[in-house]
Amino acid sequence: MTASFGALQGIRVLDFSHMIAGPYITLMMAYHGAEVIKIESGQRYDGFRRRRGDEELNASRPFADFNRNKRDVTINLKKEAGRDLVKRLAVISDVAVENFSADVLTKLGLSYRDLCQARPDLIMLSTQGMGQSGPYRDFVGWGPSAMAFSGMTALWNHADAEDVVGSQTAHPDYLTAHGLVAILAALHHRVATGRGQYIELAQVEAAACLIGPAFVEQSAGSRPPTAQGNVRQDAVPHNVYRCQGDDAWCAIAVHSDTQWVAFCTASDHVDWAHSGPYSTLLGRLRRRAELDLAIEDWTSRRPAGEVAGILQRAGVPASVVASGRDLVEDAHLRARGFLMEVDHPRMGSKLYAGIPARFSNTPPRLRRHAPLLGQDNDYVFRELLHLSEAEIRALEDSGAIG
Amino acid sequence: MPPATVDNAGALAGLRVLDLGLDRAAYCGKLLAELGAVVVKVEPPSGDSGRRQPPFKDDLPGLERSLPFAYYNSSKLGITLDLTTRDGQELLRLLVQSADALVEAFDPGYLAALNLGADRLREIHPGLVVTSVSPFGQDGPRSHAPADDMVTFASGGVMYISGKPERPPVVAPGQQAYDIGSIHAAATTLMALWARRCSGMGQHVDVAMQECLATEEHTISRFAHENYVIHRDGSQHESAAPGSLFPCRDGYVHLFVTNSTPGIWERFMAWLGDPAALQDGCWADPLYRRAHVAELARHVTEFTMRHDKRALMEEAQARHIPCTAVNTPADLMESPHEVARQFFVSMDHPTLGPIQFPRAAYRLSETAAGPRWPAPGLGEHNVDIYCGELGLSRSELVSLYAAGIV
Repeated sequence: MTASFGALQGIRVLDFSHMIAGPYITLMMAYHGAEVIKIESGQRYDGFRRRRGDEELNASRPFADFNRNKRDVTINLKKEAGRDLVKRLAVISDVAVENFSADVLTKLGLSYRDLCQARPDLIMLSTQGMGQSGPYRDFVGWGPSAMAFSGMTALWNHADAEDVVGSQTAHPDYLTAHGLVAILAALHHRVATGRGQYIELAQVEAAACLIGPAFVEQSAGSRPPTAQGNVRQDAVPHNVYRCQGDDAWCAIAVHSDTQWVAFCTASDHVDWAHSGPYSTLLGRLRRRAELDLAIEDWTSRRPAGEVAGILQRAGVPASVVASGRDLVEDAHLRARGFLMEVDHPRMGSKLYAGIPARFSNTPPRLRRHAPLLGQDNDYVFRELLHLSEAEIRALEDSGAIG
Repeated sequence: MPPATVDNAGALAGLRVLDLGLDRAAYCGKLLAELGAVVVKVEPPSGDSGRRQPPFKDDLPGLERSLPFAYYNSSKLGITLDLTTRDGQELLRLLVQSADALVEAFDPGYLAALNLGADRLREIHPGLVVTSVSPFGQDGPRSHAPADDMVTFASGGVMYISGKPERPPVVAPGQQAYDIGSIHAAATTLMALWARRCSGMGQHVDVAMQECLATEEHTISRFAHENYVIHRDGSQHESAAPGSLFPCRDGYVHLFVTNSTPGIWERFMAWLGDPAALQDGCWADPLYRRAHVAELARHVTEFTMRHDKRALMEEAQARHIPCTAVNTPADLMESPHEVARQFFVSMDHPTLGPIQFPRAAYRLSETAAGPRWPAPGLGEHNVDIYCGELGLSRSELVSLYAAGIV
């Protein structure tokens, strides 16, 4: 745990966050060498630790996934002495991250303003569904609630669908990844000015930014944006096609004449390329549905991986619509080292999604499994805060630690 | 809300970025520009592929009329340059000397073949950070496979679980594979620049969009740890019940009732008027509810169908029940919440007229974040950059233009 590595070595993060929205941000920082100290307590631990009524708090799959490389301390924020410990940690921290309901930390006396008294140039990010202001500030919700409110859910559908469907995904990684950009920008600003700042990330607004063109479209006035599904005006064929096997699909996108000729050659339809209605873009546009059926006749006789492989080798944009199994078995992700085995004292050696970036000079690393509850109390209280044995015992007896 | 003292220069003031991100990584340049960096978009003289992306204003195509291009390139400067010519390559090498970072999204190996690869550029300027963004990364067996946004999204795991079970999987709206990759590209570029403070050295960052997508929804760990494949199930979330869309009088609401919130089932029942059909104690058990979700939905729908979405949302929220209206983009723009937060900003685009933009995903208390000016016209800043900064004469610029290089 002590080895220095990564672009963010030397940065310390005080992590109050739980579930995914905040932990995803601090996970990315921890991969790149920031020292992330997760603050939990025996009474109030990350909700991901406890799954489906299980009493064991140290063997949760999603907790193990989103908290690798982090340190963990147990501090009771309801105790004055516990809050003092947090402020002493703030003194030696660069960044704080939290995703409690809007005013939880303020009521505890641990707002940005309070923490700045300990560390005047602190950078702090708060992420909530609706943000820290506005009439709906205190709305309760989860990732899918934010997506629904933003307009994303209404647009996530096949173009011809009669009802609204959306997706079952909660999108938290995608929405809060934005926070990482803001924290890094604030660190650069701190170097230039010596000043920290407070960052607010409303998940509804992050979702809206991912469908930004829809608002430009809405305000440009010609017609309101609608669901487009897998069909695009500027490419045909452009869809997913059923393949051999149970619920197996391949996505195929043809954007140019070159790609169309390559598609026809690779899929044993050379005749389509040079004569007949499919040989021109206009012909294909006018017979989109008919062409999709003809293509599906070819794909449905082959496994999705074979279809994608044939087309990729021919230079045609195509991919298996990947399930969890497809991702785990993806030879490409394995070759790149993205899928990684991590040993965990309670869960054994398991495969996880890894780090989505390679750095030539300061490579990110995986140095430890997700922490057991309070695993780093000794390191943090003795080595970082220099507390004596007696002080630690007294704090444990009073319930401030634990 | 940023206070009046906000520094309008932005947190990244002083940073210079060359944006060769095409349409794929256009959002990366936008994020950096709207945090204060000077971002120069380098396009071929025929225009970036994003300029041909529909929809167009009034459905009339034109290089200055693409609405997605207007969104993804606001706050950037724009120059044209043909990188396949020797002059073009030489000018890019000159531009690199004063840049802090270069973000590129060509197919892997394309720039290296033009003698403009990351290694070559960093010989010219050792402090340069080169961030390469691609669907599958710079190496590995599939690195050269072509992909557009839908194909990349399909490779990431979320598309497989999106849509109704009886219909094909459906891609996310917008260009979210590109956007998620771009967010990571912006963050990792800033990380590499952060590391440069100590070493003085830049580096090459390789961002694979598929990998940025593949962390979402535990699809990998569910299979790797539990041998379980998540399948698409409409809007129904895997664990929560209710945890899906429900039709109401004027649209839909989204309900998400999990027992991780204490007392939520009792509050939910009280709001529905304690329907007789759901009084049996077994309904209080979230696992029972999830197993009987269709029956549960029938009873909940009887209630939601009697009300409007905004009233349902506000009444549920007054009881601390996670319920939101399923808004259209227009609904969000008109919502009292976003109006109060001034989330949408208006900009006057020379061709598109007044258009509205979301401000930014985040607000910083000390520095501005959000759109600064409309997307550049094709070659709009050629004179400023080539003559004003690189010191070319007007007559040289005219010659380069006539030769089709800028």
